[in-house]
This record gives sequence, C-alpha cells and structure tokens, in this order.
Amino acid sequence: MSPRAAWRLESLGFSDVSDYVDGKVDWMAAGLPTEGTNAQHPRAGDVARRDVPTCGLTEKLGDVKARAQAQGWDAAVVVNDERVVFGLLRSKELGGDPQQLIEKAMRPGPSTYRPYVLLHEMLHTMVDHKLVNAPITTSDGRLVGLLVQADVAAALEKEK
Amino acid sequence: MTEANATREKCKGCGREIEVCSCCEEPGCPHAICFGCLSQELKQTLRHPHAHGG
Amino acid sequence: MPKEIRREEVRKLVAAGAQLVEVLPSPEYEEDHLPGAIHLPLRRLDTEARTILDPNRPVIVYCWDTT
Repeated sequence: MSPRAAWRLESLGFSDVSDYVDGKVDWMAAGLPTEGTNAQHPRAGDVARRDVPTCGLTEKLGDVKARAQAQGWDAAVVVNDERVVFGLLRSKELGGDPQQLIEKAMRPGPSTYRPYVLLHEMLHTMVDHKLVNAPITTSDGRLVGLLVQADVAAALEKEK
Repeated sequence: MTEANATREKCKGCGREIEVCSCCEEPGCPHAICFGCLSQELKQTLRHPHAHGG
Repeated sequence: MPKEIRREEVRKLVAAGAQLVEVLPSPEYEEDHLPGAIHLPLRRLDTEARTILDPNRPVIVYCWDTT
C-alpha cells in the first residue's frame, strides 16, 4: 500500500515524499510506542521477564540448570553474544544429561513472539498450545524476555 | 521413518499439511497451525482477505 | 521518485516537521498508529490528500510492512 501511496502523492504534486517501507510492524517490533485503542492494553513485551537466565551453545546442561535453579527458574534461553535466540530449555530439556552440551540439549529455533502482541491474544495461544512460557524477541531475533503464562493471566486479571 | 512417510498435521487456519504445529512443535497438537497463520493470528503480519497489494 | 527510508530517518524527519501518514484502512489505524500519524487511507488519497496534507512540507507514508 505505501509504495502506491507514495507514488500517487508525487503525481498529485507532493514534491518531498518518503516511504517508510518497513511499516508499522517494524516500529512496534522495535518496542517503540504507538497511539490508538490497543496502546492502553498490555502487550507481551510489557510482561515478559527480562531476568530469564541465558546461556551459550558450548555450556554444559548441568551448569546451566544449576544456575537457572539458583535464580528460581526452570527455563533458560540459549543466545549468542548479540542476544540473538538460538534455542530454548524448558524443564523437559533441563532434565536431560547434565554433561550434554547446550547445543545438543536445547530445543533449537523455537517459535518466538513480538513484544507488541496483545496479552489476551498470547494467553489464548499459550493455553491452546499448552505453552508454559514463550520467548519474546525483536524483529532481528534479539531476546526481550521470557513470557510466562501465569504472568499473562495475572496481568489480564489485574486489567479487569 | 522416511520424511515421505512422516505423520503430517493439518493447519487449523489454512488447511495445508504441515509437519508439526509451529507454535508448540508437539506432534498431535489439536490446534496445529502453520507459521503464516500463527503470525496472522497474533497480528505479527497483516491478514490479506482481499488483495490490497503492497 | 519517492525515497525509501528506515525507522531512524522517520524519527529525524518527523522531528524536523514532516507529515506522517498511515494509509491503512480504518480498523488498523484506530488500533495502533505511529505517534502523531495522520489517517489517510489509500482509497481516499485522490480526493483528500490535497486538503488534509500540506504539499509544501515533506510527507512520510507507511502501512503495515513490506508485504
């Protein structure tokens, strides 16, 4: 739509026209504020826990599990130095062979969700698919935090 | 089991065959959904019920 | 030929006084739009652009994404 709008505006006599080609999705995926009826509703990025334990591919599962549990978590997200998400360790994965490398133990390439997804939509999806938690990332794959289903339900209850 | 014989799910959104639910990645998910439909469901992309073009 | 710009350029141009325009139809605009964005759906561009927008000021248009 926007390329056609940009060209049409030029033909209507507008001499300085730019097209923000990446659009609203790009803006919201970067966590930037918006206006509108949805702006007042909580979104995934607002509730995702930033303090989720993270680890690298070459660590050992046992070490990561111990670190996660010490922080009160039964999950960890596998990231690189740029915080780009490579994998996920939920309680099932963390229960594996402690000597195994994270690269082998993790759930690779997990489904991730954008910070701007509305909470009630996330809850619906998480309940339907029995997702205890879900990684929230920016459009360039960087971890924002881990969204916990219980937190989503609590936030929506609070909003009522 | 060869890839050709692997069990296929049906996307609840578009009906296409998918290998596994793109949301939970668990076989036999009763709400199995493909990546495209999941993205649309969560408004991570825009629905195109009509050809509004680019 | 319209310029294609990215997010940072949008912010700079808006700060410098550019008119920001969302060309998506109604429900999409009402739900979420960039701060300060004017609503001018594509199908109404022909009839309303010259009355709603200042042709002497830069204009930035956007929709949902690149698809």
